[in-house]
Amino acid sequence: MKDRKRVIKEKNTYRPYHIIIILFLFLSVFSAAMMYPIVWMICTSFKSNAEIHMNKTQFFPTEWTLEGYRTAMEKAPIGNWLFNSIFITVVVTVIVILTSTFIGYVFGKYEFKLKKPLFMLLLATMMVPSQVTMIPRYMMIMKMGLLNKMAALIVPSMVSTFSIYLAKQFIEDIPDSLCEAAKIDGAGPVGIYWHVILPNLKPAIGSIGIFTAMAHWNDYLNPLLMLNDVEKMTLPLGLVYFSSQRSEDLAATMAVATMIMVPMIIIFLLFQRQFIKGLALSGMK
Amino acid sequence: MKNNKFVAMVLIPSFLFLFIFSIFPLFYGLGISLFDYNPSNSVQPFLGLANYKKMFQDEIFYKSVKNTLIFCIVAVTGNIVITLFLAEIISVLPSKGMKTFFRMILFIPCIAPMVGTALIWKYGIIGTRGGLLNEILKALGKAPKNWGLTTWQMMLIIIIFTLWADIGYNVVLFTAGIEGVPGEFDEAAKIDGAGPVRRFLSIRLPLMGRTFAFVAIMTMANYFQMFAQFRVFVPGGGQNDSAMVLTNYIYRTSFTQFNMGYASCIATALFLIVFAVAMVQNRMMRADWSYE
Amino acid sequence: MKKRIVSVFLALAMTAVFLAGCGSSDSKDTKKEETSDNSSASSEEKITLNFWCHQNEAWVVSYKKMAEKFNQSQDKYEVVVQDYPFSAYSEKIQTSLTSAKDGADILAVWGGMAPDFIKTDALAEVPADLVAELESDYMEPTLGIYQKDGKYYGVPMEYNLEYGGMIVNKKLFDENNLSYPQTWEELRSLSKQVSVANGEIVETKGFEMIDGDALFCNYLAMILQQGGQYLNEDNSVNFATPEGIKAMEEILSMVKDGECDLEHLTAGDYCYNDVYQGIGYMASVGSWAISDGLEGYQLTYGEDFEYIPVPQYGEQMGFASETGWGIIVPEVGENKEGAWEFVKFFSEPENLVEHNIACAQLPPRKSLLDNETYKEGLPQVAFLLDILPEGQWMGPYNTSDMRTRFNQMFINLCQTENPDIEAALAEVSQSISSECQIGYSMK
Repeated sequence: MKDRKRVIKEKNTYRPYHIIIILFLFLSVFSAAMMYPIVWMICTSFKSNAEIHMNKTQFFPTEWTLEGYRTAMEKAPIGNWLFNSIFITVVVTVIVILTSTFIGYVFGKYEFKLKKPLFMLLLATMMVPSQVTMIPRYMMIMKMGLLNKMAALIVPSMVSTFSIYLAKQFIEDIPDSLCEAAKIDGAGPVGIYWHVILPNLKPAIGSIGIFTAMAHWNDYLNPLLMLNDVEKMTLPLGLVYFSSQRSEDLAATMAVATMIMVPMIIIFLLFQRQFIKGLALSGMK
Repeated sequence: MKNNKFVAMVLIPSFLFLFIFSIFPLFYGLGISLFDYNPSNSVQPFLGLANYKKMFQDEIFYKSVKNTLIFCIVAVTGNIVITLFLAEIISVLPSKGMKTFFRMILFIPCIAPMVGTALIWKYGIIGTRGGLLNEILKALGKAPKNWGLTTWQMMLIIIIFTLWADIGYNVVLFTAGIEGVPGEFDEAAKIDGAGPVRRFLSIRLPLMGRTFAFVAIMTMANYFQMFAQFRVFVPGGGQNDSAMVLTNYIYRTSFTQFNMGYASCIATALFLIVFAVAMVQNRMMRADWSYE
Repeated sequence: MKKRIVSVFLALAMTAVFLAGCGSSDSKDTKKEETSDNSSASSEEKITLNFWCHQNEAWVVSYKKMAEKFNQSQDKYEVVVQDYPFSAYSEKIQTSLTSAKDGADILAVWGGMAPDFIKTDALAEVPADLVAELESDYMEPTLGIYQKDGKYYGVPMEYNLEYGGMIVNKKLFDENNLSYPQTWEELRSLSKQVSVANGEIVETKGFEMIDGDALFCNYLAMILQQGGQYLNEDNSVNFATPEGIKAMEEILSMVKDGECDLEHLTAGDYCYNDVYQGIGYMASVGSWAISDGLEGYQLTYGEDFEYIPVPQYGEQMGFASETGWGIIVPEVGENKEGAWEFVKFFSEPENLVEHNIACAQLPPRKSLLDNETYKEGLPQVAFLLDILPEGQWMGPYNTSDMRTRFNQMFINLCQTENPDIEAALAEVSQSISSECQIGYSMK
């Protein structure tokens, strides 16, 4: 069935080659324009400040220099920022994958009273913008004595309703018979989760992981509220802090930006197939 | 399956957690909005509804509501139209490699933190000296502009930035959605003599219902929360608050002016607006487009 | 596939560890230094006092020196200095005031943020002997904001002055055989002569004073120098006076004549950067900007740039100044007595002058106005000492809110053809008087 569809589809999408060429050219130009800011960032990071100030119109550096990188490494604790970002992202992602698949499993595979209203409540909390609860959350974190600690970013993020929703959609697709079989074999609820649900949930885990990791890796608002010390900042916050401290040092600012973004882009390019597949799945559910 | 004990064991702590970090803050915020709240005061004077009264007379509040709605409507519509268009074009390309390549390129801006890319735009695109826009103006023989002085143009720039930074997601989702539509329907319509645009609008788009609804709802919810780019481009709200949005206004009121009571009041308004929009959207998306 | 994942993660982890290692090494070093400082002064039975300040290399060094000196002068207290980024500092103080345990015992505070804390009941009152000194020896603008209901809640460390001096690009002057302007007319004509405008953007700037700080300070000075006044008896402001209108017309003509543009007002940075970058001739700014030229831009004083007086606009000297950096003590602190002990030590003229020199600040005490050590230490800014007594306090206002409103009005004036200056000034005076005044009374 699946194969037949594909055959029909490919025949169907066949177009005259000149249209394809026009589309291809259009996409190429569009993509090049999309890349302009990134390339500009990289070029600027290799300019000297003297060049930026004197001749602000040159796109490529007349002389490639590492001056900006040197200042950046000296003045910005990028190592700390990188470590904090990685630590928070990894810890939150792992915790969220566990909690959301577990809660999703309960909603997807168990029957109980109030299941529908509880799930609706869950979905409703998804709609609350984080700015609405920002002040109370800040006050609560302050009262818990977690301000300026990584825990301030980890603890409130341990349960993600969006991820629960995604997990539930995937778990519902796992045949009940598999769970029943495991149950007959004597597995408890946790056993079923571990031996049946999790192994069948790899694509979902990918999706949830990518969404959660990207959200926390790129988060700016929460670190901005919760962290003060320069050494404790995450990369996005550190970048803004650095640029506000040295607003006239464009080369160094762009050097920090390049050091933050280029490794991410490389990792993405290496794993883009898995990445895009994981994302695409979330939209299909 | 049934196992109430297990269900309770999982759900009670989870909902307790959810209550503490999602539901309770909502009411806590509502409470704060009734006070002249400043955390370093030992006494927080109770104001009743005075903050709300002030809000309804606050010109900046109305401006930010208007700007928030304009931003969301224009950016979400722009996003969906552009991403659908790009996804269509990409799905037409003959080779898989090309498809992957363009999807990948379009996705790259999404990888980078938005504050970072916004900073790049601030200097590289709208910068007074050496920014792309002014270079284009100069090349056309026109005088360069100070983009920081503009009003609606600034808003437009922020919207275009947001689209640039964010379309990659939806292109990926839509290409997957388009590929998921069975070809028979399209083929049948073609035989009936429907043109490509017609076929797209009346066959493929409705058949992608689920993806479409997901994208529309998520993008809308997401865009209401946009904050980083406003903080970078117009931290003070732009000329005469022409680019002030609710999120930035709340942040400014609470964390640079320490008027947390009033900020909570605006936050409540934001919540009500988002809630209303979500309701409307829910109604609109209810139509079941499933083709299974 | 798996291999690739593993290798990437390994590489990532390694770089992270490596970067974290070298990134944190210098912060560890400074901490070590601190602890060794402490142990040398036999800290065992001493009570620790936490002193918080914002991050600024030269300033923090000076604070630490002062703490060290204090620690050695007595054996009851041990002051430990800790610094935070300026962007988060206000928030940091806010949290500190609420907590006795994790908070500071002594806080350096910027006069502009002080009202946020003084209006609460979280600050300790300045003890009587210090008050006597404040009243007899401190200049009025430095005290202004620290008073509430006739009591004092902070002790100034500096006289804040954004008016009076300008950074000049000596190279540009020398290359074009120009000499520094001596009168306001010379300043304007020189500025017109050298500036090059291209539409809204001025590519080479003459004299600049249009940024978030300098515009407002210069405008007030221009009113006062004509013998006018903007501050009424009841503390409301009125800029729509003949002097206020004339001064505004003068500033607007600078923009209309293409001598400078609004770039710094919209971008939120300072004009003097243009001078250091070689695209501006003169920029009005406080003396603190000198260190940015030396360290930030690696320029040489006397060769690349100089700091000289801004020619007076009106007949008589006059300017308004807002309250600058000072020290406050939280009410919740457990060792307030010791905290004030330190503040007193800090404020002693011979100690204070060292701090002022190290931070390139102006002294707040009258008795330091002809201090030889100061004049030797900071010869470039000595000319400012002569005008300090002529200054008045800016007024009981939240100065950053006040400037935001004023600057927006100014931008709007620049953007309209044939603007009604008087109406705009009257409107902004009214909104500033009603919205930006500090909610508590001074006397």
